[in-house]
Amino acid sequence: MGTKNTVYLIAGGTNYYLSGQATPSQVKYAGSGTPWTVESTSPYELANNDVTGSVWVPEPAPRQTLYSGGPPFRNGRTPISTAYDHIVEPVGIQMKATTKDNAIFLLRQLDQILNLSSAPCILAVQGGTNTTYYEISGADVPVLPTYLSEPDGVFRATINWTRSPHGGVSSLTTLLSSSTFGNGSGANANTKSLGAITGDLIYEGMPLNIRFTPSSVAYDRVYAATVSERVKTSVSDTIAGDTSIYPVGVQFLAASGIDVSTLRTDTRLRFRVLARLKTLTNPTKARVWGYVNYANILGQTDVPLPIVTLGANTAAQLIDLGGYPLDTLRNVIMTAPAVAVVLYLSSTDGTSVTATLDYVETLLYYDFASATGARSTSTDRIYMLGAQNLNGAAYLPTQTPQSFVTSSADVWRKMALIRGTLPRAYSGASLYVAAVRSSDNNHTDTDTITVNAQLAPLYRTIRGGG
Amino acid sequence: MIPINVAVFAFAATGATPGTLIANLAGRLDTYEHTISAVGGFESLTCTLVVSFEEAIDWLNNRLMCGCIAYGPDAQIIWEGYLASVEAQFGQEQRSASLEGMSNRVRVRYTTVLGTQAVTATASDTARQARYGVKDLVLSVGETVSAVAINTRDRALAQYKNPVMTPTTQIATGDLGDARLTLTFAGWYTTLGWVITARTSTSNTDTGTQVGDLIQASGVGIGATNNFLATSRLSIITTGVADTELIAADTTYQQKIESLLGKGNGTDRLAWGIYEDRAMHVEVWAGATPTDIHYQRYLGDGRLYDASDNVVQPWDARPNRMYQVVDLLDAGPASDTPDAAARFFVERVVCSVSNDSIGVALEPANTNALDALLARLGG
Repeated sequence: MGTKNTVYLIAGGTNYYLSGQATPSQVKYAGSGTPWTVESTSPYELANNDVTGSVWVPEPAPRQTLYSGGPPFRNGRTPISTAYDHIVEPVGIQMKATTKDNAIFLLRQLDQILNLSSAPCILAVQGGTNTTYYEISGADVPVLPTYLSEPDGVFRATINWTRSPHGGVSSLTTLLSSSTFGNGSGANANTKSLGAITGDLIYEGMPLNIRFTPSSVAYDRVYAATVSERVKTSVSDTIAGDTSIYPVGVQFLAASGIDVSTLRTDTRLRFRVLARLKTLTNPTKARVWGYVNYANILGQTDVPLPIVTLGANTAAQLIDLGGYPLDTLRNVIMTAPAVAVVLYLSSTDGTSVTATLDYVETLLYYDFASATGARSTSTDRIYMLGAQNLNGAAYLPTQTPQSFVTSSADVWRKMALIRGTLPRAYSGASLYVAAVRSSDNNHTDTDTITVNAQLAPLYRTIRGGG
Repeated sequence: MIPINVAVFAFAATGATPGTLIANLAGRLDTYEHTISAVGGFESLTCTLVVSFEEAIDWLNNRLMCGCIAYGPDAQIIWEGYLASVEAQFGQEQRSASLEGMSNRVRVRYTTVLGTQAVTATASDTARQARYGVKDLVLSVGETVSAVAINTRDRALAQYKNPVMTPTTQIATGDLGDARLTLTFAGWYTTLGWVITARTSTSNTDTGTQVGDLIQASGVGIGATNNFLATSRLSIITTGVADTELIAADTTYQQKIESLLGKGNGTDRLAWGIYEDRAMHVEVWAGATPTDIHYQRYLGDGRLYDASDNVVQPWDARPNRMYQVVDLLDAGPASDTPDAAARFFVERVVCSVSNDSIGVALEPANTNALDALLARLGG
């Protein structure tokens, strides 16, 4: 079994193999041709190779975790946030050439391709079956002190490159292809499994590129979330002729018995509430507010929800009431916690208002975001992008989250406003989607949204067969 | 990862509706800090990022007065305001542009030789007003003649009509530095100090009602001049205190509003400010019921919790709350004392996020913090 990893740089569409044959088999560069484009003839060889005994492998990026608390007030600390910084990594390399000029040429070539300004140089490492690709943002190639006195045409240097913390893949994995999502009701579900995903960060979240095509041109806002669970609780309760003014209100029937036990065992999850109201009278004079109630006891107010003044649409509106950690329920005693969502209707100024609470939708979610951008036709698309391949070779996370509107031919229309965290893929997660018209929250629950979702798996080091 | 997005919008004098989205700064920030105060609401937001020279010049020249909404990881609005100053560091050269000190509508008060008080007509630069909104300046020049007062007015307008540019140059040895941008946004509340007004009515009206009148887009409202704020009265309480509607000449809207609300509700002080969707909120201060705790912490834990022990993220913390440290609670705290050993009224919050720390500072009333005194921008 071969143990050496195949390592090469990709620059300008050309492969430059760094894993040539080790001494004494390493091929000398004689000043002509492009022998580095084939591994077996490359004059470059990593210092750590199968002959020297320690095969070079990319270092995994160290986790940078922020902690809170600690001594002297308590033992230990609580992790708050984890992210990864880029890697600055020294890699020994040797070059074989027939003359000093040829050796200097090899050195100069390395420096040039590692510091491409047009696009990042890509580091490709094939360990096992599959290849991982890293972006190199820059490198220094200092020669070792023994450079000019090496015997037998071998010249040594050290590459100090700065590269991306994670490696990507050459093509995205399609998780959902032209999948028809419902908008809350009807024949199509609005939450669909992303299926099995690959990559090293399956529990930490990996970038998704998602394309939404809502069936109605009126929809300019999409809500998207990666969720563990989505529960729709039908309420179908009408409050008519309400003239109460906040903080007084008339309560809708509660959406109760919502199981949130998964919160106890998954600290990544939060609880989100959305509500659909229909058959509205004077909606611009109506306010909806309420609580997430732990005990389903009348009058108990555990987690207050924001006060939402409704839009102008009288047919139906979907409103987002925010996300909450419900940390109080994350304890050993409440093994099967369930909550109730209790909503109230008020008038802003005493004008009579009427509304029917159709249903309450609750999510146990990892990431939730909305993207808002006006569409010109019903075939216009809204994108949420978490991955890019501007380097020309592999998909890696975007530097900033991107969202925009395009035509059906992917011609740019306009930038979309992002709120929240673009959904990332997690093992076992599903994708939740909803669409509304942002000007008045208009929502038709039997409409559909066509969704394409593609995953950019990320790896901390070599992939093997994964 | 902390995906805070600072969305920047083109300037639009159309009430509470943001203009065209021109930039999402998510993922680009090196540091983020915002402050929110119990008097004023969203107060300041400062963020830094490394940019190209071209982009820094674009921000310096074209972006003042752009609207900004900062969103937290849960898609919630955590801060909202406008770009008040831009500072760009080009190595050892620094350039900054600021709206502070700018005025595009000027009048001059003077005393005639006969001892009569007089005032010139206003002079305006309508192009700057269309670009940034109206920002008033009233000068007093003592005893003079009308022509001189008018000349003074016109010179002042010419001098102050543009944003103030401040260059700094240091030619020295050492690192030259990189191209770094510091964006400082101010809360919309500060724009209430931009426009002066006057009112001759001597009717006595509830102070909450008067505040609602002063933010309208017509009549006595500031929106008739600068249509920046929402006109909703939904979050303005009726204070129960009636005061005169009279507004003396050269009084800013902010001065009048603070004069009205500074009288409280007859029993307690009030907290007020401009918050999400540029809406004015006026409510009784949380110190009126000091035992109703909103935030708490444990000394062994570096996080903030609500009264139900749910974690409150630093960017979600708000002023006008009661805060306590659970470990410092004594056996019998006074029920009517806002500030005790274990608890105090939160007058101001400062949320800071950087590559090595995430946190929020809760400041009590009567804070002596220098940045609290300096944070009121655009006045």
